[in-house]
Amino acid sequence: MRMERTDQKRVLNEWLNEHKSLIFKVVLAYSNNSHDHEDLFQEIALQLWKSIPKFRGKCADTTWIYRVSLNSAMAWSRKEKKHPTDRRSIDSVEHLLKHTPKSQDERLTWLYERIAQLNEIDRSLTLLMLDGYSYREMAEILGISENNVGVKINRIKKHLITERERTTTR
Amino acid sequence: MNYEELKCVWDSQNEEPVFALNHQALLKTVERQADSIARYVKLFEISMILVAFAVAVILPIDAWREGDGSHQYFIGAICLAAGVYAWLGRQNRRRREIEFDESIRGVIEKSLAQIEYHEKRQIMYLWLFHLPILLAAGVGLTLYSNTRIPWIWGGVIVVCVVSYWGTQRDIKRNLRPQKRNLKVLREKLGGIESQIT
Repeated sequence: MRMERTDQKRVLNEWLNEHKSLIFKVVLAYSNNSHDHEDLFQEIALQLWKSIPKFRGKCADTTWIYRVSLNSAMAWSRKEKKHPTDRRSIDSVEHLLKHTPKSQDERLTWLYERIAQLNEIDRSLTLLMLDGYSYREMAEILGISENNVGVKINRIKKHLITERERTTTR
Repeated sequence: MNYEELKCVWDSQNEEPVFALNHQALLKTVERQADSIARYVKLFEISMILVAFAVAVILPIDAWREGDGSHQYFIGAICLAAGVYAWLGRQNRRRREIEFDESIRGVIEKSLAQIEYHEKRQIMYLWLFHLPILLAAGVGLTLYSNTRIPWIWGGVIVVCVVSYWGTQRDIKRNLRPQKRNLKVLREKLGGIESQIT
């Protein structure tokens, strides 16, 4: 059955209200300046809007939102690598995102910088790992086996801790 | 520093989000974009199908009224076949969109299938639609017009070459790089699998 537009709007509104922090994390991990943050945020919001009629409630809202956001971010990164200037004019629209003072936290900035250095798949795993997703959920989101998630996660954890220790001892 | 400390740093953004969001402006933008994309895709596919069916009806009627022009029946038949092919392609594409699972691997596979479908359709259109129509048009003009034969067939050859070049250019410049990138991404996921097996 076709979903009413008002329902679709209501669901997107709820998702954005309740889970915007999750989307911000993906945005910060996959883009690196304020124009790109806005562009990617818009893209994720658009893909979420399109995904609403397909959402059957078989998984948690957050899992679904993460899945759509990560996939949109990966697709957006590929497009940006290919056509870095081929994007909607952000100046022509009202600004959607504004940094809050919390974004000045040096340790958080460091963490995002390290995440940005990872490849697209490892970046997704890192975000899911830091947000406390189980191996099963990560495997489901990425479409790989739990064992493989475990191996990769251990490597990422070790890498991040070593990097942090190296930075602090400098 | 251990992992728990990293996790604390990470969780600190949950207390106060990094950005303040202009909610209403975002909703307006999303709605506008969603409408325009959906309209564009629908319009493109449906107009292609309608044009093919319209030509498939108009040309044979015209030939029947005139009592001449067997090439018009031929072009009409090709357009009918092309219209049916485009319509079936649209149905298949929509069915395939539902078949893939919604994991990231599933989305990558779906994107790859869409690109392959698009590439195949471009090539099929070139050989099964453009070429026969141009040949039939060339034959028709040779038989029923006063234009000199070298001009007619010169024109047919030029249009054929330009169509072929345009199609190949689109495939090489747009579709193949996209396909390569998606395959690299799929390999990265596969790489995770092979590291353990």
